[in-house]
Parts: sequence; structure tokens; C-alpha cells
Amino acid sequence: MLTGTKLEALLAKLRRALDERGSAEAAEQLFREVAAEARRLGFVSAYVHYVLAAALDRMGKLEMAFDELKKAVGADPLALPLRQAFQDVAARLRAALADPARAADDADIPRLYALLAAAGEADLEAHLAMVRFAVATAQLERARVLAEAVTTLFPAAREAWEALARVARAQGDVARATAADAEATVTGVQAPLFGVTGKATA
Amino acid sequence: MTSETKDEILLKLQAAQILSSEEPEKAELFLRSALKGAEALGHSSPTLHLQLAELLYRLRRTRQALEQVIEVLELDPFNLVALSLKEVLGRRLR
Repeated sequence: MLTGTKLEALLAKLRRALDERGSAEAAEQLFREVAAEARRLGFVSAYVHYVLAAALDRMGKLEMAFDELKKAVGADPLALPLRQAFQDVAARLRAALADPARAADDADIPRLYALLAAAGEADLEAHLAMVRFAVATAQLERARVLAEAVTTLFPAAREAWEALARVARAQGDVARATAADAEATVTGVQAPLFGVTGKATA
Repeated sequence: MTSETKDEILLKLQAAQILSSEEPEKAELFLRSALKGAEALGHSSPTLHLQLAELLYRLRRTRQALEQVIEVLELDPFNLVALSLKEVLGRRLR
């Protein structure tokens, strides 16, 4: 077991971070220093990453909190409380990404999408938001690849086929657009019955 | 004999979580079984040991709880929850 003055100093710093009432940024800094020192000592502390994530979440830094929770779950993959916190933040990121009030060409979309997709936490709505972004920013080839992948991942989702039809039509690919429209017509369900998440790849 | 999958272990942990207040002895069985499965998969989970320590503390099995807390601190010496529990258990043993 790690003991000694170095550990004591880091634990004191960690307690100071948890007790920090004045400045959330100061607490964040302390947590990050402890995490970095712990790593230098050969420990990836799920606990430190978890409490840092909680602090970041309280500060409204949801993406950073997600990143820290990923580290915590990576260090302790069988920890239910960490997994639950990770799922909670992922759900809030998905909701933020698919917010109907968000403009289709919002510059935050690719970053939020990449964060979720890299963690295998992108759902249908997240993928479709990215397809819409690619169309809105004239990246039709990218939109097409993604839309094709989404229909593979969610073949029962009408919205996925409708998105593919829109992209194909924008590209002038009438045949593919018609075929996708036909699929959309016979697909009665608007969204998958269960919350399937996953990374769409072509 | 094949190892349990991570999902099977997580299922046991969920069962333990649900049972921990009403049937702690049964929860302990699930937790110990999950720990065994995790070891077979090469995972050492400080949180799992901590859950077991908290359960054993509630069952007043202080020495066994302390053993689990020591396991937590071997894996994650920065876990302040485990450190606090260690102090409480130490006081109880004195």
C-alpha cells in the first residue's frame, strides 16, 4: 500500500479541493494536480477522476465531466456508481446535441458528436444531428457516408431512411433517394423500440 | 470452465445493490461472487471492494470490513471514502 509524506500531502490537497467553497476553479485545479501526481506515482485513481467529474458537472463543464468519468470508468470498469454517473452525463450530452433549438449548423455539434461517438454513446438522434450538420455545412459526402451507416445501424428507424433520402437527393442521386424513401415508407416505427447506442461506421 | 462476462458480473452487482438493505447476507454472496468473477477476468475493482466493506461494516463484521478497505487502498490510495471508513473501523476495533 502506498504510504508516506508524499501521499499525505496529496490527500491533504484532495481534502482541500473537496472543501473548497470559494472558487470552483481553484478546486478543479487542485483535483487535476492530484490526478496528475497520482498518475506519476503509478495510480489512475477512479475516485479522484470521479470527484473531479462531479465538480466539473456542478460548474456546468459537462464535456469535461464526461471526459473525467470516462477515465474513472476506465480505471474501475465494474463500479456501478461510476457507470451510472457516466450514463447520466452521456444522456445529458445526447439531449444537448439533439436539442431542437440547436441550429443545424451549430459549430458545437461535431465536438459533442465526436465525444459521444468515441465513447460508443451516440444514439440515433445524435447521429442524425451530425448528418444534418454535415448537410447544413455542405459536407454532402460526409453526410452520405454517415447516413448510410445510420441506416445500417438502425434499419427499423424511419428517420434514418428519411435522412438518407434527403442527403441522396441533395447529391442528385435520385435512385438512392427513391430507394431510401421506399424504405422509409415501409418502416412504420419512427424510432427504435429500445435505446440502441453505438458508433456508426461505414 | 468459462469465465463470466463483464455483463454477468454487473448483473450480480445490481442484484447486490438492490438487496443490500433488505437482505445484506444475500447481497454479500452476490458481491463476493462478483469479486471472484472480476478476478477471473483480471479486473481489480476498488469500488467493488468498498461496497463489500460498507456492507460488512453494517453487518458489524469489522475485521472483514477492514480487510476489504485495505484492498481498496492498495488499488486506490486516494479513495477518501475508504480512508474514512478505515478510521471508523479502526476506532471500532479499539
